Amino acid sequence: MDSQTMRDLVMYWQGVTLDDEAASRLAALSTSVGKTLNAVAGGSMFDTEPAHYDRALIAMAERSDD
Amino acid sequence: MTDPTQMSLVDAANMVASKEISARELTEACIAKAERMQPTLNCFISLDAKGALAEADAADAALARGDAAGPLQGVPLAHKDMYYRAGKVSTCGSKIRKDFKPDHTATVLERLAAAGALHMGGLNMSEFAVGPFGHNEHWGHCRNPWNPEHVTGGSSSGSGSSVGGRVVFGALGSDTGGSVRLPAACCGLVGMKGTQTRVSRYGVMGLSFSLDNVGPLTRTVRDNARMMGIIAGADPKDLTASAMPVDDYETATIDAEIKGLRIAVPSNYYYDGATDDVRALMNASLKTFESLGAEIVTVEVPDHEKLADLAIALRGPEGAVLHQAWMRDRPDDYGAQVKARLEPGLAISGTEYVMSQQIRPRITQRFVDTVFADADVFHAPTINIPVPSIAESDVKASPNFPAAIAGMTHCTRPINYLGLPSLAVPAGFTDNGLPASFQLVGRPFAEATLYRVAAAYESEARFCDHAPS
Repeated sequence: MDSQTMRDLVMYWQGVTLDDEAASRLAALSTSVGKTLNAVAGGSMFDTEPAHYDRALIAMAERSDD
Repeated sequence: MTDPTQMSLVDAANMVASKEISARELTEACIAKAERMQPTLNCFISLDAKGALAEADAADAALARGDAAGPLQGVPLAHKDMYYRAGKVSTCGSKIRKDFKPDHTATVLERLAAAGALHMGGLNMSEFAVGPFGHNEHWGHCRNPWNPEHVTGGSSSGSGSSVGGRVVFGALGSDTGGSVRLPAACCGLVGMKGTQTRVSRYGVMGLSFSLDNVGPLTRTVRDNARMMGIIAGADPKDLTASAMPVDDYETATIDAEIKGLRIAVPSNYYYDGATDDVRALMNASLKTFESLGAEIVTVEVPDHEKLADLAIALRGPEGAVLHQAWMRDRPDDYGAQVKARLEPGLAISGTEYVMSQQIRPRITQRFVDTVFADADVFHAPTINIPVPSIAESDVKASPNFPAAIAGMTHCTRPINYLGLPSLAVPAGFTDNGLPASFQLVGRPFAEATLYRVAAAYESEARFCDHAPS
């Protein structure tokens, strides 16, 4: 995404004005985050459950100090 | 008696309980220290001497009546100025909230008060808990007790400065990307970021509810375990706080043994950009662990190059929701760097945010399976560079600020996305004379293991005996 598009989107969706440097930085960040998520998610997430993080953490715990 | 402010929190509590010193004497010593050090450290936003003395007198009166002493009876504490107390100003280190008076009190403050702790005041912090160095454009930079020309680490800057400076015996900070562990590391302290769901956040200013953690900074491991044991656990006012039972952390620190313990060290990521003096201190700490009977194993940590993006996909939108109206209507009331660091949340899509939430358990599981298959704890630097000076790190919103922040938080930020407990432990001093630190990371809810391992190390290394001059 180019920085002008980023600036327009943030103004349209959030009502916040970005300066040139911020728009450029956010455009680069958006590209990076998109690439990372595509790489990590690895395709369709149709069969995933909503993330219940505490339940997942409890399942990964090993109560060695009990 | 020698200066009572030099004692550990546990020793202070024990002396009050046994009436070897009164809570008033202890509090007066801390207030005198605070008034003497404030011009140098700027660690307080508000010092409530009158309130602390009133609480001290009540603590002494309770003991005189024969009431049982709480585990923190009469011990002066102070906390990052984002822990709400009903009717008391909580600035959140900001201009925007400089007069804000909440109508409720944080659960963790209620628990500390019930344990007998006293409240000395609100501590300096990075504005809205955004900033790993501890700079603050509105309330002035907080300064490192080991060398006031250097940063305290942030965002819990005053927590690190006041406890390290022997002004109070312990303090709460908050950790979204390292903000307990970084000031603990920079100020020569022990700092705990617990398992993501271990401590209630009710009545605590939020930045990112998926990544925020409440945690204590103290001078010793046992001090830290005592505070953590008091604040951890389920809270009906915060349904994100886990119902998982809380272990006896303090007992885990007593006569701690680690013979046969396996410690994993990373072959990738954590030492990228590390300086030679930090590497040497990390190696020295591992030698100490080996001398205590631990075995060192090497692991390649998965996914770490991606964790910064995954974390910003969570923190960004959650922070932007909290700040959007002020960013639109009062942009000039933010510090330049704080505003710049909140802006990315405006550019993350809803699908990206949810995706980062959805894959988080999978990423955590992969780390746990990889690292803890053949190890009990994971050891890495807390900061892999020497503590920087205020001048060199005060980059505001200049073009190189993202790189400066990425360097400072390189080792702490991944652990927040992974949701795992991490304990920062003093590990000596780098060539510039400032403290160094390693972090011990464990499985979810393995805080007691981390305290046991750290206590064994501390009993041998004794960096807790060093205090700033």
